Amino acid sequence: MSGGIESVTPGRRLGLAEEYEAGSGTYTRNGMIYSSILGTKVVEKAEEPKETDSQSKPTLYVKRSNAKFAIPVIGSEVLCRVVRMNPRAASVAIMMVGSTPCQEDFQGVVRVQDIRATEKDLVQMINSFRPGDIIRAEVISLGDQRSYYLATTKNEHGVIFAQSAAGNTMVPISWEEMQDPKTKDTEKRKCAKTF
Amino acid sequence: MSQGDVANTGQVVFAIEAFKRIHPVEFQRRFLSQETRHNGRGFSQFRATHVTKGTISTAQGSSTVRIGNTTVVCGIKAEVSEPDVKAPNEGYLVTNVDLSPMCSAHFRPGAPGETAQVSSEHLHRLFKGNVVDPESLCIEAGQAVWVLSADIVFVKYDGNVLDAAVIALTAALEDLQLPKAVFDSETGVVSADRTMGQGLTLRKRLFPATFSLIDGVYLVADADDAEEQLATATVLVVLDDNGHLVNIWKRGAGNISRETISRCVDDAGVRKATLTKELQDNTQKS
Amino acid sequence: MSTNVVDRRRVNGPARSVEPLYTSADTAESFVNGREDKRTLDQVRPIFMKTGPLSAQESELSLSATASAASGSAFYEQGKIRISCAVYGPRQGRKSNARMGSFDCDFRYAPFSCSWKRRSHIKAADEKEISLMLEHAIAPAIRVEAYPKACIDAFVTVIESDGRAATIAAAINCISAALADAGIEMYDSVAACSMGLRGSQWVADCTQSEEDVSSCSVLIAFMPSADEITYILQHGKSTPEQTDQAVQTCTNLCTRVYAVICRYLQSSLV
Repeated sequence: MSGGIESVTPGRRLGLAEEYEAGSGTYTRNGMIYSSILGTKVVEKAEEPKETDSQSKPTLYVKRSNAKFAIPVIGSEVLCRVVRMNPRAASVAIMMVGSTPCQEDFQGVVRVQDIRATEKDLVQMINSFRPGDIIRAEVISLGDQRSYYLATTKNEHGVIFAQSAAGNTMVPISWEEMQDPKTKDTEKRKCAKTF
Repeated sequence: MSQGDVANTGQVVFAIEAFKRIHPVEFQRRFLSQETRHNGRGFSQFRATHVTKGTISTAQGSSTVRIGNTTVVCGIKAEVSEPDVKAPNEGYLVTNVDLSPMCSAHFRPGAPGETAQVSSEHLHRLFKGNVVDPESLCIEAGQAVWVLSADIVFVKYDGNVLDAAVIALTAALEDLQLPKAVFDSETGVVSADRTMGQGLTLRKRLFPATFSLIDGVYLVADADDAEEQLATATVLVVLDDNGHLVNIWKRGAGNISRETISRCVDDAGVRKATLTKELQDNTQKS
Repeated sequence: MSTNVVDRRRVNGPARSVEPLYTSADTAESFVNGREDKRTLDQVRPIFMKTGPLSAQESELSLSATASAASGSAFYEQGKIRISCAVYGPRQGRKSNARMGSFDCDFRYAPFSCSWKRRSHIKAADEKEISLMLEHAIAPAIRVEAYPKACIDAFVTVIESDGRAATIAAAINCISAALADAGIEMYDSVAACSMGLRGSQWVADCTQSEEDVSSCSVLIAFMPSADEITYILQHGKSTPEQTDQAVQTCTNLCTRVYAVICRYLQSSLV
């Protein structure tokens, strides 16, 4: 429910913390909820009041005017390009978080032990990725000074787009192989399970 | 993200934004192969260009030029210096292009990058002598001459540095008002009267047009930033008021045939007509 | 820093050049009671601003276009002052901190932006100083904990200046608007205002010629909703009472400026 569209700027008082739940784009200070971004104020009625004792307050949040840029956090699913690799780890450039593009690439690393969930000791970097591949991965830690640590252990994570040595886009033919549809050559990859 | 905008790259379906981000070359190719461009322009279509003169009061001459989203401000400061011993009658024109980190994420803070250096140098060669008569900048032979420092600052960058810079500098030079200066031979001081301005007579005006070769096949006019990233060759054609060629500059490794070059020159003529109109319209306004 | 450094990466003029001696002095000394532009003593010059990567292609305004590659941008005018700001990020930082984001600011005068001699391309000490001032004034407003490991950069270029303190204040307002446009999470927008002391009178938002004759200047950056001052700079000579009074008036003016910024931001949503 909304009482007309109200556009708000950072620092605008939106309501009392007693009456509302603070949602995204807001913060709470001294019992008041304030807006922290430029956007429109939205009050969302609580779901069906649960029979338990949780008091259900409507949620106040601020809707952004346009989708802005994302940053990776632990647990987010990211799309990245493999930039370079060595036997122990692959360096990647994170280009998208979820379905939101990043403004500029973030650096990430997929270590060899984070590629598969099972038989980790048998995994070889060269049989999993190649520079230029586009992979889907999950952020597992904010990592070291520069890079985020990523993992492709889940089935749906791994290479989603790769070109063969001949320069053609390959299609996955199993969980560990991709094939060039023109030359019929196969190359090894840690493929993402297509849905 | 809009629902219908999807592109299939063989196995995975991407939303259009993701596709553009992850596969820029393929993304552009899809448009170009359909005889169109991602920005909706035709191959030989330039972006709308707006020129405003005399926007800055702290400079003796200034202009603002917008080519689509590329926005550039040019300011000319006039100062006094001693002439070179070898050319006692000649003043100086100093042109510098500033591509700051503000205008695009491509540029880093600090010393000017390659693009800025090359553009500054090329601009200097185009305008010095050719457009501005160095002798018209003389105050007292062998004693004092004007130094025109023209700084071309990019506020927002979306491709086509040189076109924007040449147009901005031309407009700023047309706007320039040099104060009337007198050299006092006893004190060696140049005094000037701010209220008595005087325009500079330009030998000619320059009309630039840039074309880029993308993917080795497609020749597009006035490439924007995304297209420029993929260009293998670029041709700059500069014409003067009479439509005579002043400069052709082809750079990059891509092959461009002789016929293509002459087509560029023809298209530059069309571009010149629109630019002439834009420059004149604004003279009347101010 | 020596001005005679030959920089091979730029087109260089003669080693030394000076401004001619202007005979018709244009400094008005007639504002003993009033002001040269007929403002009242506590009046800020009219503000115009524009945020965002442009739908304003057709706009009459010459400079309304600012960086679209940036996540947020603003163009700000206050009287003759003209400033453009672009905010980039959150993006990968150079000095990353796993828990919090960082905010960096880079302030520059365009070479032709000052009424006196042309500025050198080489970054002057005062530009570095102002960059730091802006960082300190704005940083308290940003919710850095929302941006672990990331960096937010603000690049500010002064296209035309008119009064040093007023230009810095305008830069703060411009960055605030650009940050809001970028959708950066903030506690509040920072608004700033400056004043100069002329005789025993405080004059708001001094132009260059007014600043030249004032004996003291005060610059305040303020977050009205939080009722917190983020930056105060006073230099020159004034009594504690006078300073107190200036801080009072300045914070009031900041609130007014804040209202103007908020109005522009809200109208940018439509």
